[in-house]
Amino acid sequence: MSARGRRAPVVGLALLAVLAVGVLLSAAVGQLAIAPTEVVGAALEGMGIHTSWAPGSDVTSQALWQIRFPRVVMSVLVGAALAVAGAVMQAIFGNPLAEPGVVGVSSGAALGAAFAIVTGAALGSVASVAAFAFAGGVGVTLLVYAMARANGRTEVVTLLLTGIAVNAFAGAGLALLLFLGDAAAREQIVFWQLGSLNGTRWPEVAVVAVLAVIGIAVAAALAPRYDLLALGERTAAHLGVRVERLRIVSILVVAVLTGAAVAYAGIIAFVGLVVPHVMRLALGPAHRALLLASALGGAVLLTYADVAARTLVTGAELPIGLLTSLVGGPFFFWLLRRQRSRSGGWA
Amino acid sequence: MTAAIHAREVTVRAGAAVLVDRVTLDVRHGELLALVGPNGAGKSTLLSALSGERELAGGLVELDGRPLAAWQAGALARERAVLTQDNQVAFAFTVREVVAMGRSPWRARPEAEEDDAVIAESLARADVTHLTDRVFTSLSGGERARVSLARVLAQRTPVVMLDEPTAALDIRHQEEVFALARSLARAGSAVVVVVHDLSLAAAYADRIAVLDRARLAGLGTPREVLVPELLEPVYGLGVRVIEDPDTGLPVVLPRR
Repeated sequence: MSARGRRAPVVGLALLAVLAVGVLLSAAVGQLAIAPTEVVGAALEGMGIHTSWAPGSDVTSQALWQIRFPRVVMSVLVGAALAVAGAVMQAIFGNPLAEPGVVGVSSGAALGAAFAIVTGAALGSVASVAAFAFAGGVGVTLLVYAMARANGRTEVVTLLLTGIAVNAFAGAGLALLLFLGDAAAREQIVFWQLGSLNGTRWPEVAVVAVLAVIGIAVAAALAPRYDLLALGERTAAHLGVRVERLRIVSILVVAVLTGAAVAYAGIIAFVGLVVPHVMRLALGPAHRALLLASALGGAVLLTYADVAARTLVTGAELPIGLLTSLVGGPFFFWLLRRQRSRSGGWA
Repeated sequence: MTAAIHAREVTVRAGAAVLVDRVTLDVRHGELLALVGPNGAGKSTLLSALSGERELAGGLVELDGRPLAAWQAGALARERAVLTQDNQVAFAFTVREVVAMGRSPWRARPEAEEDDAVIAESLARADVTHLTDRVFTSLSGGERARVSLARVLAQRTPVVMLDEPTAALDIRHQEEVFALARSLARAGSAVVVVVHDLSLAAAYADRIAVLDRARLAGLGTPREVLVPELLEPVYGLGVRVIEDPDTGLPVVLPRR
């Protein structure tokens, strides 16, 4: 086993530790400051284990179980889902620049959500917005897949230009819906787009949890085939991979993961780009370790981003999508330059 | 005995163009067959038809007596290995990881226990052991070709198809790759190699198939096939065939 391979358990444990601290922190900070011991106590109490750390007041306990915990769990799930979706996208396109957000999947989801908000006033519940966002995300994923491929392969330029085209088209649709909608709908759309984990409730967490776990499990099961895909489609096929079938299943996985994450949390861009890339630098490109580490890394990133979103400005909450884009934009640019200099220009 | 590869009247089309036209040939276990011919004659296309990669417009290909269509993808990968001309690897996989990928068709089978030994042996036979921990994308063209060959060797298949394995190699490595291909054949594999260098083919191949504009123009031992009467119209070039003083095998030179 290579040196990189031996590093995987260490990196995994480190990420788990960082995540545990982040989860504790995220549950503890906020308008109502709660001691970390009380967080642990409340969590244990919810599981039926009574300890002396349990919060003294019911208010604290309720705040944790009704507001903080669902939100923390959601940030973990959304981060993991987005990062794994990015890693899978990169695996099937054989390109580190492929990310659901970059190629327009998130904007498709936004279009779906806006459509639900503007037209579905009668049924404009959180659930219907989420359902439309999910459908938009899945639809655009399939569209990008169909459009970005020519003669069985995908070039970087085609992929990025497809992203521009899809983003532009979704942007136009979004503008039209903003124009048609009333003031309340507009506000809802704008804030949905900025991305937020505010107001997360348990039933929503459950939906995302089911989809995220299924998606990540399928991706992990396909990991050895993603490794072979790195040899090119022809060689992968010679090694027994049914490439077309793998692609279609993977696209569905990406759609489900991205759709689930974006449906309730709104647009949170660049997680799928930054996290797998950093994990690849740390662990190498072998996909089993990469996908699992990306899930953890994504969870870590979003948990801390959510803490930052809630604490950077006193008395207000920053949209979490703003934070990830603030970091992700420059990172994407750096990655683009690096890729370009490596390959000596775009083919 | 059943031929390792049996091709009958194999035809491949791309739109209106006929890329391979009714080619019939057998490759036996223990035999090294060289596929030669001018650029665009259809050598690589024929190879991809034999490997099951390209759909046939007509004819039939059987591996070990079974039509290609009857093979499951996994079983096929344990039967025949293919080295393509273009060997790129996306992402920074190490040489060892790339060669280990050649073992993937054997996953979850008893043979998988030999993985480490097979990988080490394949690296050694392709003369790339010293590159084991290097990242594939950082290698030179010739090194990539040899690492990819090691990956094919690690697949341990009774049928091996190599598409221009020597294109990027210096003469020492060309000789080594062909000696290796021949040793695979001597060990019982059926080996098909696409190659441009006729003298190299003559030195190592048991038989040579000459393709000319999609058709089989000749098939036989190097002495039978490498004659000016056959080669000159195929290549559109005057050639001189002399005997290698040591081996007595034909050496083909252009008339200058």
